[in-house]
Amino acid sequence: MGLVADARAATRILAVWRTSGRPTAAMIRLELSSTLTTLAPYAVVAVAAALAAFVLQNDLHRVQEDGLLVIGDPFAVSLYGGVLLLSVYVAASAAMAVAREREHGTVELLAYGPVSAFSYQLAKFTSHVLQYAFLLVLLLGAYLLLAARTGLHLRPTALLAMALSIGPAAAATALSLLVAALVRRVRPTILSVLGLAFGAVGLQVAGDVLARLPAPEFHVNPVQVLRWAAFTGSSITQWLLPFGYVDRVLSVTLRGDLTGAFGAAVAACAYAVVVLILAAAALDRTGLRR
Amino acid sequence: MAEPVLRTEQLTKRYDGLVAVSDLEVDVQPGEIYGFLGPNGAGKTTTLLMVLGILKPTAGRIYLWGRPLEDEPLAVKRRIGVVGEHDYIHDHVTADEYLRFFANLYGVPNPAGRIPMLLERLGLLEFQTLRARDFSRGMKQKLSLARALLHEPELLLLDEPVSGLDPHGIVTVRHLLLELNRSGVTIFISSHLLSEVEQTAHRVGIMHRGRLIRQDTIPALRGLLPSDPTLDVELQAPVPHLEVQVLKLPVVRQAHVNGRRLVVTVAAGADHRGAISQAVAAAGGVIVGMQMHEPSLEEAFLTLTDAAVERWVS
Repeated sequence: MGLVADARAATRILAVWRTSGRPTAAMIRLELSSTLTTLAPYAVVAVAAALAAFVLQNDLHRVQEDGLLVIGDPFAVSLYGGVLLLSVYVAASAAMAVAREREHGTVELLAYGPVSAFSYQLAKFTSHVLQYAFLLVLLLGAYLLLAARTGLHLRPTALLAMALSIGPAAAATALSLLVAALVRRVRPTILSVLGLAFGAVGLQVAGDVLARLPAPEFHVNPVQVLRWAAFTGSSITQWLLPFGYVDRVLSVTLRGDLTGAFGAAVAACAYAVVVLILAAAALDRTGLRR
Repeated sequence: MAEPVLRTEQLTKRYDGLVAVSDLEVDVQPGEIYGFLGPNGAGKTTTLLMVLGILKPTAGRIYLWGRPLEDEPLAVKRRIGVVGEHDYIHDHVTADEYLRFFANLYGVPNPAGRIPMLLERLGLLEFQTLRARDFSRGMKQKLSLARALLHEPELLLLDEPVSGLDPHGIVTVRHLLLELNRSGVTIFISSHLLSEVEQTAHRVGIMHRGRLIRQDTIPALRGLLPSDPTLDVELQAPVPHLEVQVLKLPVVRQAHVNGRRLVVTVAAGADHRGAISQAVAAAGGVIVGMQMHEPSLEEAFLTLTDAAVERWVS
């Protein structure tokens, strides 16, 4: 009986692989080969590495001038910038891929065959998350070179933060796929994804700046009101938008709070799964036709 | 009777008040070539997209191999090859890369052997490393057909398969379709090119304004026509009073002489060329050429659609 059940289970797995797994794997391979053979992802890594070089050089310059610089992690700022840049790039790239293929009609061609809206979105999601991981390795190589060149130490927590940032990047990719499914056209899709990313980051930066401003002692204090508005907006986007998860994962990891870091990464992954399912449902609902 | 490969049951699609397809009941039998005819905007492509699950019907059901489409859409689509309305080929890919991707997608065994074989059959082998941007419309159409045949489908759904092809290409594709059909592949051709469907299809469904106005064999559709076949006879020299002699034959409906040319309308249902030849010879004429003109599917189509329009208007 056990053998029969095992054989049935194996047959079912094989059938699922044939109907959904194989087409998804084929689409992932195609997406990876077409995106990684272009210049854009390497240009983004180069920009992130240049940003890190600029920040480190600036730090070293201050050390030379002041004789002392107290800094928790010399790569922290570079890491924030690099991870955010890569996340936004991968998210925008995924959104553009879906919107462009929809506008061109390729999605319809895929739907003639054994490709569902879910397997299509899953392929786009997986290929872009893998692309992010690959670009992260390249960025790590650049950081190691900079560490060797400047003599500054790349701490293990920074390495862990980079690894855990895959969760928030996956969440950002899933959200961009949802946007692409809802918006349909290439240009509005890209503008929406970039608007969400920079809007969320801008709100957070504005909150930080306002928090540092001295509040004038008026009866109705405008700085307090703005601070409150920025804080409220930022608190909402921190949970609703994936770019908040990037900040959370990095800050918690760099502080050395490993439990919090893994928790934030898991939350980001859960967000990614839920939003990916919504993205597939949205694509199914809005239709595969251009 | 065997289970139809494709069957629709009161299939309907409405877009914001516009009825694209209305209560469509089509059945495609195993091993047949079914021509789905209709002018542009008749609802043919909408029907195909619903059969493929790309458009959701407003009402009605679709059965493929006896099972509702929604039961196992992906498994069913593995058994179908499709050439759609548009080719959707990225300009930067080569024919070989394009087919290799779809071979992976469908899990085609031995793509290295199958791809060149199909490309050769469609006259594209020498262009396999050429990028799609350098392909003509006809070449892209053939490439789409190669893609549709990669996984050896049991049912082929073709939307205007010969559009954009040159006469040589049309003959190549026609022969290929007939050969596939002989090997057991069921073929559903949606087209507005009546002459093309006439030469390949066993049965035809005629769509007009979202409705199936007729579904029958081609001879049966021709039989609906009021007009009889005509014989165009070329004579060596004019023969006086020839039409009087010819009109004496009971099968002749009308006869008209214009110099060395005699045009005779005869009763449908039999070949009357022998009787006409004898009558001409008896009148002293010498025939140098004779052509029979039967009412085409095009005429049947126009008669049917005009009648349908009149019915709806009244």
